Amino acid sequence: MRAFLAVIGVSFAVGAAGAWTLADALSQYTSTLRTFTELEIDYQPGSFVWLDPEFSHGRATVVFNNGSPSNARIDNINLNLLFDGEFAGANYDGTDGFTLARGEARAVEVEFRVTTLSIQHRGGSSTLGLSGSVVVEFSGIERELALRVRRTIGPVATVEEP
Amino acid sequence: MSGVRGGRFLARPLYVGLVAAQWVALVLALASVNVHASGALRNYVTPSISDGYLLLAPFVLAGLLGATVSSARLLIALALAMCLVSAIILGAVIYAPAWLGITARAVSLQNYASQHALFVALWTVLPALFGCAAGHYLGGELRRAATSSRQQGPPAWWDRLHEGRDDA
Repeated sequence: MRAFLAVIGVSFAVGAAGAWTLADALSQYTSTLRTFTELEIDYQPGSFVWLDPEFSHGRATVVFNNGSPSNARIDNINLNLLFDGEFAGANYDGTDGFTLARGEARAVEVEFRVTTLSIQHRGGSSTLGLSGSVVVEFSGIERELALRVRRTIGPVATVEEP
Repeated sequence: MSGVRGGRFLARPLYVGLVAAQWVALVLALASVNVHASGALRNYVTPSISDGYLLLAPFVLAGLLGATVSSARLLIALALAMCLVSAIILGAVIYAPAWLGITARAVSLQNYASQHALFVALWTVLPALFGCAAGHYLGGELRRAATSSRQQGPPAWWDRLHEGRDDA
């Protein structure tokens, strides 16, 4: 009899521990995903300019907005420049990583170099777009977030004067 | 089995209630193991444990169930239901962000959650059946001690209470 009740008791103890760890896991999972979804990356409208009349270099401003409750380390900004959806170039020179405190927003200038020479001449008439990914590390969260970015810039013929 | 001699037996409703509560507790425990061992939630949930626990946990937990449930048919049904319900809980946890409005209610997430739940359900069934067989074999004395009325010693207070009512 005592052994029977001991088995029942062990089951209850295991069940209580299971319920607690299950609730904790659900809380961890949802809070991590909530953090992931509250970091926004947007192209700042009207910020793209060509740096030369041959459309070989351009610059755009990308705004990072960390609405999550954790500090975020932006480590790897890999953005491609698209002409009518077609790959034209990328930010080959890279952009330095930076830390974004919770609630902070920061505008970052990203320079692009056009390397698909066959379509370079279309730079001033094509609908430009951005695609790529940004790697983000949040404090207190083990998993890195590879955030995919895809934004339409629109046609831009403006060339920045030196 | 030291608790058999001089022990008391349980009234049937209490026995059934205890086993039902035990089943709920074991479902929660197995669901927790599923969540911590599932590849879908690895990196989101700490600590994440090895896949091997998806074999060990149903074996041990079904063994506990097998030690207390006297009917073999009922035991198999309860063990299968334990695996199924705990796998459904895993699927629900994976899909929870969509229910909570954190992510979009995408069909791909729904499929992902149901695939993982189905996989874990199938993965845990076999060790659970082995576990309940082992527990049923080893726990024969336990069940007899709990359910047999041919025990020595004074009856429990709830049985005395029933006897008093019957006499009245």
